[in-house]
Order: sequence, then C-alpha cells, then structure tokens
Amino acid sequence: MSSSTDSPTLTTETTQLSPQPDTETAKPTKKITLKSSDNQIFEVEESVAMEFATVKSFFEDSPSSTDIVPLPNVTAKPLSQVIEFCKEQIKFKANPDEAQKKKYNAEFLTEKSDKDLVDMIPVANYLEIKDLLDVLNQAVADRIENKSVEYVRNFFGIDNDFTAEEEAALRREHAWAYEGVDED
Amino acid sequence: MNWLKSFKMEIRMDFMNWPDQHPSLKILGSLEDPADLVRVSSVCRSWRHFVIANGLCKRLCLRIFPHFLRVDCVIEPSCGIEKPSEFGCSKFVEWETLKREHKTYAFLAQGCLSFPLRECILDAISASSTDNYPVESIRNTLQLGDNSEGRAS
Repeated sequence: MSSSTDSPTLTTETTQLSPQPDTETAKPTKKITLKSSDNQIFEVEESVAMEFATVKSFFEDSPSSTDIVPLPNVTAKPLSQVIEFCKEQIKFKANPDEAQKKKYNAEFLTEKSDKDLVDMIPVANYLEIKDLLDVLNQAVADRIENKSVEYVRNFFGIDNDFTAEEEAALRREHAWAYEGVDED
Repeated sequence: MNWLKSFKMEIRMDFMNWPDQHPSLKILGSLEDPADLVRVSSVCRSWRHFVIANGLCKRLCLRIFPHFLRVDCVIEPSCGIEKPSEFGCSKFVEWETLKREHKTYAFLAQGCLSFPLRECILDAISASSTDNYPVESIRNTLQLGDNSEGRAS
C-alpha cells in the first residue's frame, strides 16, 4: 500500500496513506530520526526534515551528523501534526496546485482544536517552518476575532492580573470596543 | 557541542511559550479591527504592554488609513505635548507617547471605520495638511476630545 522504500524501523507517528506512486517515492529516500522531548522517536524522510530550517542548519553545521536529532521542548503531539503538515507541503512543492494546497491547509486547520493550534505555534517557530507559522498565526487570529476578553484569556490559558479597578478603567477608556462581541 | 550552538533558539521558544509570555506579533498583527486590539490589550498586563510597546493600534490605523502617515504626533487636549526633560527620563516620555498613541489611534481607527465620520475626518486631515503649516497642522485640527466615545463632537 505505502511506498516501496524499505523502512525497517518502527515509526510512532501515524503514517498517512500515500496513494500516488509518483517518481519521487520510487527513489530510496534517506530517513532522519527526530526525538521529541518526551522521548518519542519520529522517522521522517530527509526532504520533510529539511523543511525544518532548524534541523537543516544543524546538518549543514555538522555534516558528519548524528543518528538521532533531539528536539528539546518539542513534545510528540504537536510535532506529529507539524510533520503531517510538512509532508503534504512537500507534495505540493513537487506538484504545485494552489487551489488544492489552500483546501488542504484550510482543512488541516479547521480540524485542529484551539489547544492544538496554540501548541503547534512554538514548535513551528522553533523548527523555523515559516509557511506553517504563517498559517497558524492567521488561524489563531481568526479564532479570537470579535471575541470577549474572557474568551481570549481562556483560549490561551491566561490569568487576569489586573485589579478590578484597573480593568474597569481600561473598559471605560474604550467602552465601544467591548460592545457587540460574540456570545461564546 | 555543535548541537547546543544550533539550539540557541530555546530562548525564543520561551518568548513564545504560552501562556506566561507574549502572544506573537504576527497573531495580533493579523487582527483587523481596532476593537479586537483594544480587547486583547486588556487580557493581562504583559499583553497590554506588548500591544502598546509595539504600537499595534497605530500600525493597524496606518494600514487601513495611510492618510495618517502624515500625522506628526498626537496629543490629548488635557495634557499637551510631551513634558520636556523635567523628569530626565526619555524612557518614561517614550512610554507615555506610546500609551497616548495606543489610545488615540484606536479611537481614530474606530472613528474612521464608522461611516459618517470617515469622510469628515479624512477631509479635515487632507485640508489640514495643505497650507499654513503649522498653524493648521493636523495636530491643531484633530484632537482626541473631538472624537470621544467614537462619535464626532
């Protein structure tokens, strides 16, 4: 079902069905092993790993390379989602199709929970995946648009550290901004 | 070890780390309604500082209304232009300016986005930047007091 490349080691990420047997997949591809901070091992194709500018520059700096690339501070869940996204982007690079790419990106984002999105941002930032960071930032901005202050606090899990008086004063200063926000 | 060198970004990671630090500039910079920015600036102290320090209301206002690029500085009728070196602390003055800009540009963007005001204020600004500078400069024709509560006076 999947490509004909030999992959003897276990991969912890859920490998997606990769239906198109195009020329790319026929070549034996080099794999790179990433290790998340919670000790999960991810085997990804080199082309995918090279989407991560951080990993790429690591290999450029020390071509002799290591067996496993540790990613401190990056946990498995957001990392697997980031890998999933980058895998698709590689396909779009090989066969540019803006409409399909837009569609995929939109679906990828809408099916993610608020927490998933927020958790992926520092990972995309750390790995320096600019395209992903851009779509994540925009998606988060879209989700907090026209929401109440309390909603935004909950969204990001932020505690209110203003005193009641300070908060009242802030609201007075721009009373118009607090009217007519979304209910939820 | 080379590895440590290439992972100096851990610091940046902290900066982005929710929820105790700042939201990214990109996220808040993508908001297109001044009301969103104002509400976001009252989420917590660090967010307020972030919005003001980065002049996000001003940026948004200038993005929607490039006319305001001609505005030199904004003042509030009650407090005049920034107090000179009495305090001897330029950081303080700078911060006060940023706070004032946050407040004023939020009003301005909001005011200009509401229809009847839009032409009225933009006309005034075009007019004020034509002749007789500085007596008829924007500074003297457009004041926060004229725009209180988002309505024209």
